[in-house]
Amino acid sequence: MKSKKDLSSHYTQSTPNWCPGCGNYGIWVALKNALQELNLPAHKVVLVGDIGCSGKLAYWTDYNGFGGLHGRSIPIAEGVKMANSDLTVIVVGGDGGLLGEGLQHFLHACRRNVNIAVILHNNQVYGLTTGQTSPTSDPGYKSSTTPEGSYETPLNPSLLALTAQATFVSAGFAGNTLHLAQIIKSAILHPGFALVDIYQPCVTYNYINTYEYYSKRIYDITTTPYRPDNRFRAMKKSMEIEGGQKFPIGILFQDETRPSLQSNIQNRVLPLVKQPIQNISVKSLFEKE
Amino acid sequence: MNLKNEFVIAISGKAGQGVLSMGDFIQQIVQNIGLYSFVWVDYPSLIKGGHNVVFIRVSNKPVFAPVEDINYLITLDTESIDIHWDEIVKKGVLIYDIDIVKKEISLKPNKNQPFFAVGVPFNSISKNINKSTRYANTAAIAVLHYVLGWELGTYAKIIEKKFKKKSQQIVDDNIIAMKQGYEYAEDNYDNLFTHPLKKGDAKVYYSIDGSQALAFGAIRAGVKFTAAYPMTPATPIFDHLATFSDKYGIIAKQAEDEISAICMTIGASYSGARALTMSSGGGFSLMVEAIGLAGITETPLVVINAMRGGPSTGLPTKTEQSDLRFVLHASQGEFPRVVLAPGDAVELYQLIQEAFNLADLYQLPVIVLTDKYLATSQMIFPKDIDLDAIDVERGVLINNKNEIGSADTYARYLFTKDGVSPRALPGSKGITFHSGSDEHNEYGEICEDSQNRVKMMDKRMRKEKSMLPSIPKPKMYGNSNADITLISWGSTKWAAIEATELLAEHNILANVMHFNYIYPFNISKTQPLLNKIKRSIVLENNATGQFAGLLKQYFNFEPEHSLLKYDGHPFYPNEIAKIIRNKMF
Repeated sequence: MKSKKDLSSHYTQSTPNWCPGCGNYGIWVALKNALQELNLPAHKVVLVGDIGCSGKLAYWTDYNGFGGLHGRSIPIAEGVKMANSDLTVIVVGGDGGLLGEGLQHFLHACRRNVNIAVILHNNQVYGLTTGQTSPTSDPGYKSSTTPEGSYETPLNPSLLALTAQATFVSAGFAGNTLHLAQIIKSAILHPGFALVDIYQPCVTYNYINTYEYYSKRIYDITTTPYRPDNRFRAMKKSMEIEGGQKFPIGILFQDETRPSLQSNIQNRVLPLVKQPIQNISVKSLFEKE
Repeated sequence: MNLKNEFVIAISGKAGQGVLSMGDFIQQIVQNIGLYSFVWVDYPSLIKGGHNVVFIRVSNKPVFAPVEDINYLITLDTESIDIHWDEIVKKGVLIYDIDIVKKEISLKPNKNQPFFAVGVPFNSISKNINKSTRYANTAAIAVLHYVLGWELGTYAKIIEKKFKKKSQQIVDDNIIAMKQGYEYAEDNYDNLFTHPLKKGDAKVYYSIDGSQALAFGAIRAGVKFTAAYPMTPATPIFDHLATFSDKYGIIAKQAEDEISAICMTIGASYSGARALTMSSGGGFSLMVEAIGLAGITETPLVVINAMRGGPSTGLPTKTEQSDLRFVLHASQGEFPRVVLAPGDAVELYQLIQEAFNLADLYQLPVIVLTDKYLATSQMIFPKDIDLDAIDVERGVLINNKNEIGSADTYARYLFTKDGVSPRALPGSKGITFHSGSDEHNEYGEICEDSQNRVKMMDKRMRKEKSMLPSIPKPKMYGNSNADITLISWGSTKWAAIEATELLAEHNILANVMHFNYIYPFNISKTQPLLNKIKRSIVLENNATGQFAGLLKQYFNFEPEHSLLKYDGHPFYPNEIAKIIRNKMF
């Protein structure tokens, strides 16, 4: 792994510059631990970052990182994976990018079952632009753009993913990195689209959904008789958060039987980046049948 | 137009009546009897009904441009007769179905009707064969054969070839319809027509449309990934790639929108596959932000914009060249890019390959401009063109850490003299790297330092200069000492060249300067050519003279005239020649 780069001559941040106490640190640690435990060669992993505090994570590990556009990290990741299925491709993004600007990509990636893991840093706020209301902000959330408090009902990411036919839907907590690392590991190993919806405190702008708030309300579903093999049950489970009182974490749903996009493509087309492209003949195409 | 040398056949009817497939049959016949063809289409934006027309220009010499007049018109409905009444030339021939047309039409030309009108009961002929009208069009093509004095042998062979896969019954029924149509015309309209051009000795050629030329060229260039969202008139390019995806190992992914399409394409290219996306102006508008992503991450990207009439939904199925300025500046900020605008089938096939090479060599977005007219016209592609002439050039690629000494020091955006940094692909053994849309230092790490910013901008922009040896000057066609130079770009090429031939008949010595490499201009090679021009006129399918403006901006060249056409149709050579004769003499 690269570590000895001499970056001293540049005003650069090769380590995170998130606010002290930011939930992103917990996610960062959990993701790195998950990747370490999976023992994947660093050059075979690509983190595709969205735009926002969360997306910068893509620059701050020793794996490959590609910083994308706001809302567009998912289609970029899909392209990376389709062209080279040997790569482990992970999206890191926030609720603004993935559920606001880029919601259509999120939904279509679910049904496409493309083999990527999406790490959703869900802090219910636009942090980097100084605290505006996000698609998952609680009703009544006050910010510079909603001084009277938001009138809108928040989106429920896990429920959305389930209705869009995602084959792996899970939730985690930035304050419980050991648990989160295991969930991320399962998401990466899942043969298809995987969502990890992470409750993430924003210590600077969100004074409601704090570490304390979540710590009181979160429970590990493996401590209950719940089994993640039924989509309808998973939908019901995912809706528990809507009362704002109970936040189940763990794998809500997993279906390993539905073929991923890659397994469908692999039957027809050799991995793209491994195909030689010199001297391809197209003469037969010119000859009319 | 001298009928001994060439004429135009048009087939007109409602969408869904088989106009395009009749055009295809006739083109194949023309090609098989040793004549040249140029086919163009005009259709509205709907699935069934509406007015569809296909034009086949038939000639004993190679032709590459549309013309205004119709010599032979087959109509499949009554409306078509009214629409094209004024376009049929004196002593031309209208072929229509007397079963459906209830209009007063006289067989021979007269004061009110300059052309012959041949009525044949196509539908009845068909119904007598199998109780449906499915063979009516076959009978109509047979009547055209009679009028032109063509023998039926070639047509029969093509019917056999085309329908054999379906069933022998269909072949037989078509042959009966063909014979009965021909015999009806023979019995009723004997000795009326002279036979201008019955066969020729055309050099063998392929007849392909612009979309095929682009798709075939992309496949030759090794495109392995394409993503797109359907939009007329770009979709057929994607369709062709999808059709041949298994044969050539391509992933063709229909995306949920154009933003996704271009982002998937950039992702695939970052991984190392040659990747392509395409759309028309509306979809390209959605792609704009991502063009800049390719620019700053220095990811090779090829985008085709098949232009149509704008703004907004505009004229979905009509042609225009009005996105030039838009694609030149699309996306915020400044970064190097290449814009190409091929002028015919051969250029489409070759320049899309050059586009992939330039994108790889200089790690930047390349935009290939075409338009509805060029993308949908079926053109001559001479068989003596070497299909394998252009080799794949991938630029400086690093495949493993041994090539860079130490993986720890790999700088994806190394400051280099020519601005091109050796590129590693993700998955290269032992190498990891960062890149992204934020301004970054040589290592791809986010960096807002002013000095670094200037150095990195300069590095990227240097590529515009370092690529100049790869950028040719515009091509000249015709006499180098001409009194008038027609300046064309993209699809106006052949209408301009042919206009110079028409002008020669009026003793006006004209030539053509054609631009297909639009940006960056190779100024030092181009300026001397512009300086030599005596009088000039720029041809453009847009309302504001976008290219003429570029000539002023980059060369301080002011054309004497600007000929602008934005009615949804391509230029016709005689229209250009006429305007030049009227305005400039």
